Amino acid sequence: MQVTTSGSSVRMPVCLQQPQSDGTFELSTVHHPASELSFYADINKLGQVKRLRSWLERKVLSTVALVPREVMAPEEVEPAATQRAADIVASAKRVTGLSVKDLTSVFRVSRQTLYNYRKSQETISDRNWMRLEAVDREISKLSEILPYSPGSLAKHFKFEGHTLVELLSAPQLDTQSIQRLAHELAGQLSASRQHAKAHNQTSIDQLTRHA
Amino acid sequence: MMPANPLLSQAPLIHVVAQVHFSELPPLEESVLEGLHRRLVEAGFPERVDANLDHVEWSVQVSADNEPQQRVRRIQRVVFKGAGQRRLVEVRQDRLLLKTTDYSGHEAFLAELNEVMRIVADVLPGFDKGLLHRLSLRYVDLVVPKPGEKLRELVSEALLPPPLPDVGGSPLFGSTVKVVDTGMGRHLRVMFEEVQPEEGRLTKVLPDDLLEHVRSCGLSITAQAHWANMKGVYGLLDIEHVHIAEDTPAVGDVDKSEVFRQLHEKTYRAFWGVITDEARRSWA
Repeated sequence: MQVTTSGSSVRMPVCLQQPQSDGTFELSTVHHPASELSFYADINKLGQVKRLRSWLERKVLSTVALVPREVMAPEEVEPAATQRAADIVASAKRVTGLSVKDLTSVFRVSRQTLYNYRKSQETISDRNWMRLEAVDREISKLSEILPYSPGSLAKHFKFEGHTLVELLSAPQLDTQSIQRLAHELAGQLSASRQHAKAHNQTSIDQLTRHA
Repeated sequence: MMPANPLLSQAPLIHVVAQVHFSELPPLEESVLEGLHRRLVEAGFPERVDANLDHVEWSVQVSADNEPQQRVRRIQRVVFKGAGQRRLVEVRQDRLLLKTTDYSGHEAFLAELNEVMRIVADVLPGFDKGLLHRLSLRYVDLVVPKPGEKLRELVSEALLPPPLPDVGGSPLFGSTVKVVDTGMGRHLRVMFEEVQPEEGRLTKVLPDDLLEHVRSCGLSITAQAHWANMKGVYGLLDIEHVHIAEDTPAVGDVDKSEVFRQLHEKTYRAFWGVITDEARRSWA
């Protein structure tokens, strides 16, 4: 499970952080990009490119300049960024058990777009990135609460008047409500599992009684 | 001779990069890369990852009306990773890099670098005959105050960006840089970034040009316990010593090991010169 910072826009590049089983954590040299609209994009690479452009436009000489294209806008780094989108969708599917059709409302994109995310084939707008990251933060927390994926319960189990898929599909994600529902759902799932275990054991006992 | 300084059990060093930059070789053929891979497996870099880097290229012709033209150049790189996600060798047509997040001292690092350079010279056709452009050694320290400490107590005041008390507002980011000519075609750059955590967590931990954006090429960094719950601003100390081979000798004609040793000496002095006694006690 990765830890990512929350917030509606990513102001700075943020390193991936991986909790370890012994309670420690590790950082990574891999970073999420800053949002193209962030102050960091303005003062940093965007500013450098603008200064370069301004210098070139003085037409002092014919030149070729190489500027490292650091990641400031997600859609510029196609291979890594779209792989991340595919990872986020895969994680959401695994944790919730929801179908691609149901996940379209969660990610607020068309089914085709979601399939393209999964195949790392989509150029992703800043708005869609924000949604992907916001959902991923919720899914991350859900994975800590739910003992296993709820599947159809995500669409049918209601708490405080809402199902999990309804809460995850809201334009603004309400973390508190999602987590309260998740805890209730976790209770349901654990109870179901206990019941199934007891039932299976009873069946086994019956089947083997006269062995 | 380098001044003696105490070993730091909680050293803030998180990333070290040694780089050999040479004239561009012909595209690396698969058979050569396979041979390199076999040799690097024996040297402790068994995992091969093929990736790319994107560089934006601007060009302009001298005329009244032409706009600068932009295109993206995709540069091939091959990465060979060691066990534990702590070290890697990166090979490009014009560059060889050794990166580590688990630095155990200059002698060990230099020994490993020498081994890698020897392997690359043996396997890559034309490497030793290529022209050397630059050698560089770079150290990145993550200066995170412990509870009760402040960043300004750990590094020289000269490194810190202006506090701007009369402006008010909340600081977002700050940086300072100094470049020094150290002679023999070398320069040493010290850059310091003042970074705000977000929601109690670290944000960027590397300078922008060292940020990795391809997961499979990333390295892990062991975090210190107090990095988990950040209360205030932290710093990135980036020290790079660069040797520019102005006469572009053949790569094989340069005693690269000796150059790296000399580069290290000044970066070592620079580091100890910008941290405070408080920092030495805190990290001891």
